[in-house]
Amino acid sequence: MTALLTAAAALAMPSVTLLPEPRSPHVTVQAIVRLPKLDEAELMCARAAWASILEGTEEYSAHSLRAYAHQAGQPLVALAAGDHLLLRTVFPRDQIGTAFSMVDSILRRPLLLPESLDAALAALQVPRTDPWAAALDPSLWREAKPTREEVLGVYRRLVRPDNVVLAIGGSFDPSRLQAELARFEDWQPAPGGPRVRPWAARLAPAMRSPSHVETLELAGPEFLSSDPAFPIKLLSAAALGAGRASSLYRVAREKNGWSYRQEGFLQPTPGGFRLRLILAHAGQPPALELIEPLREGLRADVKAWTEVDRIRALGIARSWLRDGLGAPLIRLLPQERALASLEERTHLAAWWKIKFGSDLHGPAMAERLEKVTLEALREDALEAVERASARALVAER
Amino acid sequence: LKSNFWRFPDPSYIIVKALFLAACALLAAETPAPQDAPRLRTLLASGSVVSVERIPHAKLVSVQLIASARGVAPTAATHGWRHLLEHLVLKGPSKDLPARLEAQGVFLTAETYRDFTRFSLEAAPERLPQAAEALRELLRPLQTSPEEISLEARILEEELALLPRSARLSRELWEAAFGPEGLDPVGSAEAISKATPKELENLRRRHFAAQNLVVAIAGNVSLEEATRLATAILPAEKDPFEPEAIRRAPLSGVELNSFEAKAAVAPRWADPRSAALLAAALALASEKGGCFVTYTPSVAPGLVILGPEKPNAGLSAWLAELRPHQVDGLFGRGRSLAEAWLSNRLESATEAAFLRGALYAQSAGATPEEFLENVRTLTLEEFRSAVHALQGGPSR
Repeated sequence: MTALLTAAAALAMPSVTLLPEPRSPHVTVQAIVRLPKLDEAELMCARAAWASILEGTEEYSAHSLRAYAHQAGQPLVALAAGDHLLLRTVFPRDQIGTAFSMVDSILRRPLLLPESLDAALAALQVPRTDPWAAALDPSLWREAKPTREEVLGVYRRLVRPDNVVLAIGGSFDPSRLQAELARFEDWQPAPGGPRVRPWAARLAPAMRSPSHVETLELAGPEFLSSDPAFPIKLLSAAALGAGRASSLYRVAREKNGWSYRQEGFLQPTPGGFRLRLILAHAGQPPALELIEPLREGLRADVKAWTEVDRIRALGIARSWLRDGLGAPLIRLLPQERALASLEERTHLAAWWKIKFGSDLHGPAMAERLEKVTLEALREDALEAVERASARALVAER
Repeated sequence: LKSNFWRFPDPSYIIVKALFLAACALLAAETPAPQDAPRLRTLLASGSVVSVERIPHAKLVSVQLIASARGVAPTAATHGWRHLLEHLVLKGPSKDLPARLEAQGVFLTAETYRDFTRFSLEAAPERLPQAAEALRELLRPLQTSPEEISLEARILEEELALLPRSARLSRELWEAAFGPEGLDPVGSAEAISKATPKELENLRRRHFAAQNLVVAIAGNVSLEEATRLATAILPAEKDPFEPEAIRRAPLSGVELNSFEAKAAVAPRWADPRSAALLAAALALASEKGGCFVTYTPSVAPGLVILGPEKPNAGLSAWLAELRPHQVDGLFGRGRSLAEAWLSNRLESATEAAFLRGALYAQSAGATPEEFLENVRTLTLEEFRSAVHALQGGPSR
């Protein structure tokens, strides 16, 4: 395995992360593309291109991509996250060759036809119809006029061997894997093409809910992944927002009955992370009138934290880090619920390496979390709640 | 959390009598140890069922309590009470059960379906005893008050408001197809707000009657140990009444063609026509794109639904324009999709426990394997007929 990784580094091909699970009946081959800080128009181009990559390649039609994926009953996935793009395949373990062939073809030789890109650009300007999905990702663009060449330029600048990580999880034969990885040895970055005109698109995040259900979010200040207080902030996110005894759950649901659904997590951003506490609300009073009561309720709840809260947060964090169980404390994908599946654990392992520059070692991270004191936890959570900005998607009532 | 359907990619099941253990004991020295047998189903004297499945590659253990809805069919006046009960039971008698479990790395969720309610615990395999012990708390008499019911009714109203589009379309179709017998399990805010602690406790006793209960466990576990833990928390004796079977029949002359989502009546889990409908719906959804498919495995008649994720997606027109050769071209894909759907579920501890438990809760004889067999032996003619039914025509 070490030889494989070393070879990848020496050849300037995509770096590789492995999560071997020999007893798994499946193998997942994924590609993760780092998203740097982009301006509004560039980000739209990146997302439009990524949304179009499954619409056919030089070797595979869209139909055949779907048909092959159906052999495993797992759809092909191409999703945009806060700080990366994800391409995911899952196949029976004896079809690792098909998985690699498809990933190679999709990444390097996508058709990105004008009609696909036009449809993707149009979709990025249409509000989501589900209020929770809109709250999780309120991105919406206006006045979008990027050309196909601009979109292709962004794609080529992002999807290049030195900016892609391949993640392979499940059951695979190392020698077969080495042969499959050799496909990428001749990957030469394509010329980038024209830069996107900054005025080609404007980001205008949604302000209105698509239904009568409103959403309310408190978003903490952004912090770096290298922040030495990261363990405190991770545990604080668990205590504040994860599970059925978090502060958010207690305040928004159990004490006040404002909300059925509420979630708290760290959202990766190109610059680091941000704490997000989100709830959905359909009753009275309107969500805008709940901002300060929510903040005040959370503040009071945090001040009353005891060792019981710290230990519960630790239980959640340990389970997530070691076993992929429970609510994800770092939300890689907008709709992610848990990480126990092979493909999600593989995704997390690869993303972790990109974000932190080292392998995810759950037990070691859990040990660092155990050293976080109740006082430090409380102080961090209070600061996050007090400094949090508020966002509501309001409904017409 | 609750749902009135299983959404795809999703479910399956098996029924196995005590199996392999005795046979293994008779074999030679190289015979695997008894715990290497894949599954063990135990029917207790009380009428409760324990189902344990060993999945060696599973990272987690899933422990599920599934209570059949036999004998607790809703009326307009009690529509949603089971859902309310699920919310209240989930908290445990001391109201802090989920928090105590989370501290130990055990995660509890619950869902109400038309034919059963399930409480699901997920944990690392070494936490099996704690997860099983939590079931004991879920089975205790309900401790609640009018104030708690009132608060929970508000939360349920919030939940109703959040129902996804697929659930709303599904609710319309079920009520059109089955009338009052198709009431969704989510409930109505008005009926829920009128429940009292005493009425809910009466409902709980009937719903959680010994004969209605299944504990299903799956993961890298010892069959004997898991069976022992589950047996210890289930009632020792039968309840004095026998819950009535779930009755549901499609209304005569029902017309489902005018709805935005398309549906056809799946006669019952083991009927080949149900497998054909699922294969057809999955194939059509994959071909059209932007569609959802729902089907909750049931031994009673139910619906296979194919619906558009977004409004005005042109599904009806697309279905109407399908040519015979296009339908025939989807046959192989439909069969592999349905088979993969079932096989994938059986490889996941949580999904396998759910599927087996849900089927046992409905009938001691239902198995995922019979559905799988129906998928594998599906004929082109059966597939065409299923597509035709989803297009709005009568099954042929």
